[in-house]
Amino acid sequence: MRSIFTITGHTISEHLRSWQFLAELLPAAAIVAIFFKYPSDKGTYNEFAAIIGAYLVLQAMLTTALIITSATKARSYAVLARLTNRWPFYVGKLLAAILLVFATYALLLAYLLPTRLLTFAPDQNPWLYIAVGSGAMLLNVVTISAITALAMPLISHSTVRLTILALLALSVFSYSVADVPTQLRFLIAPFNALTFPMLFTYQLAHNPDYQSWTLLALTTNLLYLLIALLLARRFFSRRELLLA
Amino acid sequence: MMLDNPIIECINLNKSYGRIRALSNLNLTVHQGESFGLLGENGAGKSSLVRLLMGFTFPSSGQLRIFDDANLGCARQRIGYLPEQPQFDRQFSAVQYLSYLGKLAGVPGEELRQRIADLLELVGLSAAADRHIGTYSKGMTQRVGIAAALIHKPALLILDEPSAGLDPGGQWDIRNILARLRAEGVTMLLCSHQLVEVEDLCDTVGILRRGELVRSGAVSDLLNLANLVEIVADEISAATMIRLQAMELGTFDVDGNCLVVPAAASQRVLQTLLEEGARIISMNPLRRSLQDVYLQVSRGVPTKVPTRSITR
Repeated sequence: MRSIFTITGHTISEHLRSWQFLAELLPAAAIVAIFFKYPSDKGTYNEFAAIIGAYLVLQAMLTTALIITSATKARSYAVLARLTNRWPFYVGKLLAAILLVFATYALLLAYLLPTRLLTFAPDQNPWLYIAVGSGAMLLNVVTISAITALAMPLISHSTVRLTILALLALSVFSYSVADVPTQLRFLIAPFNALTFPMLFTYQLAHNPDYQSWTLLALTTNLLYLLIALLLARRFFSRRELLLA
Repeated sequence: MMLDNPIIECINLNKSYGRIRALSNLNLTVHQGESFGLLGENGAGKSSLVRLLMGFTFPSSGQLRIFDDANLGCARQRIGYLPEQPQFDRQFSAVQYLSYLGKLAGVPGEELRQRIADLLELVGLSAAADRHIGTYSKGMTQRVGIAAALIHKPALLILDEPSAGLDPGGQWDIRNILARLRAEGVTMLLCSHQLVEVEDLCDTVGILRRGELVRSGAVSDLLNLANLVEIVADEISAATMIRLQAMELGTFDVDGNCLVVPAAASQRVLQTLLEEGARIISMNPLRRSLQDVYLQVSRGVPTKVPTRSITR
């Protein structure tokens, strides 16, 4: 565990010193300006959850990709040479990416709440909505970060990466297919189901009401996270590292 | 001092990248306290072996044991590794970066601070310790690499081209640092193109050619293989030459008043020279340079008549 936290701390420090943190800060500032600060209407919680929920997912992908790409350099040899296995290196980097996205989210909240740029309807309990919404959004961040890391060249070979990307593309595409004959819906259903947990979790951030699907969606989301971590552990431990 | 217990053992080790065979049936042993130089042209398989030893890649077949342990992960804790042209996070100072690596290696706080100070002193970077590595010259970066390799007091040092790309002064400095470590009894595997460096620093040498270990042995044995003697006389007359040529000495070379003859025949040659009235100025055993051995083995260039005497 100590190795993981050491790598996480160093990676965050490296990210901040190299100005890569602008990749989080600038989009966040743009979102605040475009959607909350300058529009005449104050942002509602539902708008906040819709916009920030989507933004955090994209941010998680970008930050994770940046950090894992930075680790795909010959300088990582010096670090890997100190570790008995590669797992702390992977988890340390992933944790750094997740914490950076969390920090961006915390900054957004810290700005939007005190300045009252984010408003709640009278029937909405602000703290309940923030707590449940944040939990749901951040769960998606963690899962998406883990899947993104798994799809990086440092961790997996090209077959795995292409499979992950193909499944994601097919899943997204499956939602846009209309007028499918009932008899053929069984072909699309599995691809719908692939991203369903993340989409449902995203939906939960909008409306933190417990539904019959909630537990299943959250459990499946966590299962995806677990599978992504286990696959990354397996693939990365067997990956031939020829870093340049 | 070299001991019998093996630190690195490669047994029928093979490594292929697709259809390219990087190492072929490699059998190699490095003993405790030994300084082993691995020579070979680009693509001979040196870096492939280093990556295998460090666990960055995996053998296609064969066995690899370090510290008598096939689990290289555990062994890595006791290895200091200097990659070829080491790269570090440019935004950190040497102290910060060494501190990071030291923490990963499990060196406790106060000991780590002292260790970093000692190492920076050893590699001559104390004055620049707090400067960002990005402002360092190539030689300084290489020294940080050596300090990083030593941060956890390793029992085995694996050095991949430690002085590659450095100016002669930088090469000299690095060689001095490594000589000190060697004197302290650290086991070393040194991959290098610098034949002088290997000759000076290593007890044993292995030469790789296209993934195969084509020659290995003690440096002294390899260099003295010719077993020749250089005799310098004040003058060698034509009559003396005729007598010497008639002696069928095998290897025989004359350069002015300097003769190179097999050691076994040196007494007969001396006697002949004295009989012919020549005055002997010097007589020294000769050895080949490592470059001669290397070129002969790696490129099949025939051995030239040796050009260096031991007492040079």
